Amino acid sequence: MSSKDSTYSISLDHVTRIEGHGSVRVSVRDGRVEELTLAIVEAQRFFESFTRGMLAHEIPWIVGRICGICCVAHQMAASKAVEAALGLEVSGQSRLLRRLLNESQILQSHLLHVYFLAVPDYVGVPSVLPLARSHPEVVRRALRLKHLANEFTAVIGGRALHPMANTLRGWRRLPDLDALADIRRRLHAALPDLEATVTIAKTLEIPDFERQTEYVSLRHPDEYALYDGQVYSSDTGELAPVSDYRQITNEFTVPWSTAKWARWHRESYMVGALARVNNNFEQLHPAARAAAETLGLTVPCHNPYMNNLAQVVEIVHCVHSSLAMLDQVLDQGLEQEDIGYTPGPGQGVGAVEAPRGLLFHAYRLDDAGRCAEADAVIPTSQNINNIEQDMKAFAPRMVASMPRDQVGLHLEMLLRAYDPCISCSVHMLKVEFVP
Amino acid sequence: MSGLVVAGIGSRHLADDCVGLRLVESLDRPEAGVRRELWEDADALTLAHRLLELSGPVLLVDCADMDLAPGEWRCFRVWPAGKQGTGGQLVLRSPPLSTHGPGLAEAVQIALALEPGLQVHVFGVQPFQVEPRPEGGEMLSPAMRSRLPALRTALRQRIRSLNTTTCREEA
Repeated sequence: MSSKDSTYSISLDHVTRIEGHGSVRVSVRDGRVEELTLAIVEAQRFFESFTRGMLAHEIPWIVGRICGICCVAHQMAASKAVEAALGLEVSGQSRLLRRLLNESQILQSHLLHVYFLAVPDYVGVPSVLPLARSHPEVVRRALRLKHLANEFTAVIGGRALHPMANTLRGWRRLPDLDALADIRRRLHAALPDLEATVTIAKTLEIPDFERQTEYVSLRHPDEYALYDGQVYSSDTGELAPVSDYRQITNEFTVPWSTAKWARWHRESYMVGALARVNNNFEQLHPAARAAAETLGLTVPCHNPYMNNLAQVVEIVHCVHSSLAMLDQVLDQGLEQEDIGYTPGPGQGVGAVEAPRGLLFHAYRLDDAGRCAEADAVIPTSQNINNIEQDMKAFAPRMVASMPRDQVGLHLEMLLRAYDPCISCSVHMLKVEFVP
Repeated sequence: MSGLVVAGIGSRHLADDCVGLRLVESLDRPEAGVRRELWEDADALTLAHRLLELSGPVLLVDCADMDLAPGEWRCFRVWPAGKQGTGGQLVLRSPPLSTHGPGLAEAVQIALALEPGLQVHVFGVQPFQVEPRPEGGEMLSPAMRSRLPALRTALRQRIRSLNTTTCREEA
């Protein structure tokens, strides 16, 4: 290798096919990685500021606007936090509907990421447009499944994007039972499309890079935790209450990122589909465990590129789990419940598993029941530190074994494998002025 | 081949972006064989899916940046990428930055890549204003509101012309 070949810099400005703007900068001298940074360059969003003064029941609808992809997760984490602050109970019926709504959104998001953002990397095309010409049957299936997932969300939550039917304690307008039965029929009819999704995912050549890290997710004693649970760490094997979120995330700042970073028991941790599958594998639906076996995903898996396959496993899980929950709803029927509440002061934390990982919301309400303080810790801001640590670990091996363009591509693929939502991760930095 | 579908596209939260919805809503007596639809707030992949569900030609009525004077309109057929046709062409964002990136152009090209025989026409209207109107109420800008009657007449003529062509092709 000449010195020209072994000394170069890679600057991937505004990596494509992710949500928001992130850049990777690598400096290589004499075949060695001298410097590597994952820069987050999005502007602040200020959601924590403009929720101040809002009434308790307005908060979930407003913060849902943080993201067009994870709107349900933001609504639910906020609802749970506000309900905790006010000591409000949620009925079994509402919990079931929330789980259905959350799983419909995970389906939407994972299908979008796997088919439209990740698969193009593995078949060597820059976007879904050439994929539609080279693999039309794959794109047709993807559009079919994505449309079904959108309609699933719309039936449960009133509309596919930013649902408004759900509110504190329950549902303002219950889903129509005939529409639920139709969605159940269509989800069942989509099972062959799921099998085909697993089949194509199996053909993807996943880069062979591994690094042990801490996997953090919710864990629930009775179900694969997507809506509820305590926070589980693979490092300690212990559970922590959601209310300890600040001691869990330990947010800090770095000069090259407008998003905050996080760490818990070691220098970084991972949240998201792979963390959930690693931590709660035994609670996956048997069909999802079978899909994992077909895909060669054995736990614990330390290859972050496998997050894409973990998403496929969760797609299978969510469809089967939703079918069972829909049977339960259709069997029991739905009753309009009392969703009234008395405004007042309080403080609470809520957490759910968003498609991209663990999401925390925390609110303090004043005596009039209006929001006095808000905080949200987003999955991507928890993952960014871990992504950079992965890049630092893998880049020297990539540089030693790949041409420069392949190094850049593999770093982009690594970032995309995490399915980051950088727009969400950039939230307000707390600034204190010393008198 | 089935009849012409006239689909209004846009968002009611972005002022003149909803001009397509308003125009299609106002077609109270559409021509025989013509079906009206409103594809409101639809993301690109939903649009692509809806286009693929059609079995006949479609006229998409939408707000479009065409470097024309505000309130002006153009109607043109969209061709599959690489196939040169006459009239306007939708500009693709290349490469799409994120899932927020793909828009109508990408949706149409995905659909045309999968179904090259699909006939997609666009009735585009150059907007006066495409940002949220904080005052609420009527979503169209006052200038666009005053243009609506003329735009409706132009749209009706275009539908009549496309519908006649479709009927001729069917015969």
